[in-house]
Amino acid sequence: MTLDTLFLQIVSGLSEGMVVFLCAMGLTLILGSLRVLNVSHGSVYMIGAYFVVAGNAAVQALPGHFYIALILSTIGTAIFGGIIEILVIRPLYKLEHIFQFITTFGITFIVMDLVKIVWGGSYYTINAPAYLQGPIIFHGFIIPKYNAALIVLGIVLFIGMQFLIHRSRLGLLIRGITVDRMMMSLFGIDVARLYSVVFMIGCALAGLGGALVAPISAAGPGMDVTVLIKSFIVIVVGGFGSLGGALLASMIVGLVNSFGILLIPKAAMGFAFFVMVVTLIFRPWGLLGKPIRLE
Amino acid sequence: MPANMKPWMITSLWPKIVPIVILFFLFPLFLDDSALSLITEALILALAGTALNILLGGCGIVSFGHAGFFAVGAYTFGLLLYYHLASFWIAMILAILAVILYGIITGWFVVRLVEIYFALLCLGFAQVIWVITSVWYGVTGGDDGLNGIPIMNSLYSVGNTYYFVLTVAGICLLAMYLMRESPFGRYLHALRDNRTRAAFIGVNTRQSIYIAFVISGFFCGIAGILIVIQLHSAFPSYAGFIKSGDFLFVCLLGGMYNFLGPLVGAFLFIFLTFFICRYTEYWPLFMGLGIVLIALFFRGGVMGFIMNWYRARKVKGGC
Amino acid sequence: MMLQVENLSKHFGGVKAVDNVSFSLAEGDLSSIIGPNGAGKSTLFNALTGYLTKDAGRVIFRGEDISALPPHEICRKRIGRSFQVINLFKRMTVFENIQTAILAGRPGALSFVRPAKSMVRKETEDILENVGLTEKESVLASDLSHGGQRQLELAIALANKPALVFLDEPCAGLAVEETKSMVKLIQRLAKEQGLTVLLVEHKMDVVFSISQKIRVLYEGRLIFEGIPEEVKKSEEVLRVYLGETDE
Repeated sequence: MTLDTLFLQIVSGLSEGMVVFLCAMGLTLILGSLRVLNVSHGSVYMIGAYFVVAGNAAVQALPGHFYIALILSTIGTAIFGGIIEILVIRPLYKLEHIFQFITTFGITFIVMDLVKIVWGGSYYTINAPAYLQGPIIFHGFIIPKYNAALIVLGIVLFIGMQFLIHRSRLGLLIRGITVDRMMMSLFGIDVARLYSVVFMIGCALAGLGGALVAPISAAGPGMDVTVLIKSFIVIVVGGFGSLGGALLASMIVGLVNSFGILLIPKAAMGFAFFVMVVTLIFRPWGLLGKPIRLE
Repeated sequence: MPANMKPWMITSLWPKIVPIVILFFLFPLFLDDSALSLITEALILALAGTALNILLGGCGIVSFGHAGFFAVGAYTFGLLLYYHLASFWIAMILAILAVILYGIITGWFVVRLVEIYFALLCLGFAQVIWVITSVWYGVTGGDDGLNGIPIMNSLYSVGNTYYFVLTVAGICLLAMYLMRESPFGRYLHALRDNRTRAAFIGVNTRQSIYIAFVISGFFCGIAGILIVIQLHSAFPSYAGFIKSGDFLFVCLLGGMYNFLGPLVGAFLFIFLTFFICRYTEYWPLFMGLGIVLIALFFRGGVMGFIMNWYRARKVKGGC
Repeated sequence: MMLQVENLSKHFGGVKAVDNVSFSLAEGDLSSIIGPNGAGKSTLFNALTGYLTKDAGRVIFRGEDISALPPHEICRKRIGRSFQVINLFKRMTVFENIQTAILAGRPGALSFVRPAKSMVRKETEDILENVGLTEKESVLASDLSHGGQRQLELAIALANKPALVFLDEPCAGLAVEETKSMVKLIQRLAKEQGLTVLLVEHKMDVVFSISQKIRVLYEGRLIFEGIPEEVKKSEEVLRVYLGETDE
């Protein structure tokens, strides 16, 4: 393998890792603050991808149609998330967590088939905006512009998220409900609405991730389960509750996956899985997580 | 001790169970082959569902990857027979050992996590099995699956297969019932109802979950072996997400907190899929809707509904 | 010496929830720990009973170091515990709750096939009678009244015939009459079974009527230890409690 190909694989791996990072960030947010396991998180990601394809086709004539489609897709998945939260998850907060898993698991099946009904089983892709197509040539190394943009965007969103959680009022509220839901309601905060907002933000992140991946990877059946497992691997390897860990882990998983594809294409996920297994053996609380008694 | 209906025991229904068991043994005398095949499928599904329910209703733990056990059992058994590496019974024993090994290895990782992570990790391992079976074309036949697996001669008849499955499933169900009523079963219910408390009455929660996981997987793997005996084939979908969903749905539909729930759920499931699949290929859509609706409104499933009705009737009639 | 706690500390991040606490309990002692909210009482109990890892210090029970043991092993050493938040097995009946607790305390009773229904019936009924729940034995734990649930909490704590019991706010949420019954119950059982009891309570009348010795915890530190009369007269203790309500 030449140096250029190596570099290309690295860039491609990092950028795909960023997309998983967006999805994982949403999952961590929902899981960490609301303690809800949204099994259908992968489905939201998939919807994001399909929405951007559909949106792009719809506004094709307009300038900046890619960006419009992105925004529409993100808003669309946020709304979808809100609907799910209100109809299906909210009634179950007081019960054992088992029922939340089960219902979101059921939603995964519903979405899986709805997508097939509306769009059929084929794969769809769209083109990145014109000036993001093609490569940057840097000292003889080829860097696809779109992938580079993804990497930058991922880092920007990471910083933005840190800012949101630690410096904004919304972030304060979110950290509040993470610690003690009931206390927050005593402060006069509409906790139910806050939960919905957090859930929607988490879904929007996943949807954005799915939308962004459409130009490089294609929307198609099965992407929901794959990204769910990858997001999960990221959270475990990065450490529960650590956004920085998730970023780091996403990059690792992205790279491992990208090189794995070179070796055994269909089994690429197996390598990422292997990383998780190793982490679980030697450092079960993840790279940047806190050592806790996992009782 | 005054007799009282507990939600999860059906002691007073025993007199009604025995005639049903006898009926099952008599089915081949008057049912045709296609009906028998459906019932055989239902029994296998019931076995897998009851196995999953050891964790689900018994421990309050969800696994999204029980299909992994199912596939490991099916493929190990199938591969050994397909390539003539072992005789029927030896292949069965080796397949069982493989399932136990899968449970011990994956269980070690899985019990280190809690709740949702447990569920997803199980899914992850099942996906690994799925990838292996669908990628390793040369050995496993990939997506086409293994077809024409040779089994014991006498089992090529639908009737004989039915009896074989009925007997094996029956013994397994009995074993699972005994375990449920044993002290170990009580430990599991305790840690389901209150894990913190269970630790402080002396239950080693992690170890108990590990053991329950391996046992649950064991019985699910046997179901995988049985399906190969019935269909003479094995497919990667046996390890898939949808298959795990089927098992979960069966428990939920029939009632998680009742031992017979998964059995009832399995028969209803076969019945439903038989009709719904005639009209549409979108069975997962209906199943997903069913799962959501049941989890929202009918958490006790069919058996839960029946038990409540029975209890209400007893109160009216008795006191 | 039944229990020796030496320099026990537990921090969460920067907060010292339990700060260098030391005390000991002799056999048959009936004593309490009191302190304002957030003083660290529940954290202390959780650390003593193996639910939390300790950052420093040791816990020695009957000469044996139990500092690193997990909850289920500590329980098996004949230590019992009740919880501040009611922790029962909701889907089981009262009888089964206690029966399961007894079975779990006996590793030798573990079986995968023998029916549990008929095991240890005599012992279960004895405990039921001791706490006064015999008529309610077939009631589901979640259907009991609050008072009944507190009685069941106590029964489960005693299921294993412990020598030492930690009771975390056993009278929380009980009405005046029920509280009096609970106090009498605890006193009677302690005497009959020779229990060593360490109690955490907010209700001062309960504390003063049961305890021979009272320890006061404030911001994780043990600031006072003495007999009830001394505690009532202590200025320091008063300040600690009043200081809280002034906020």
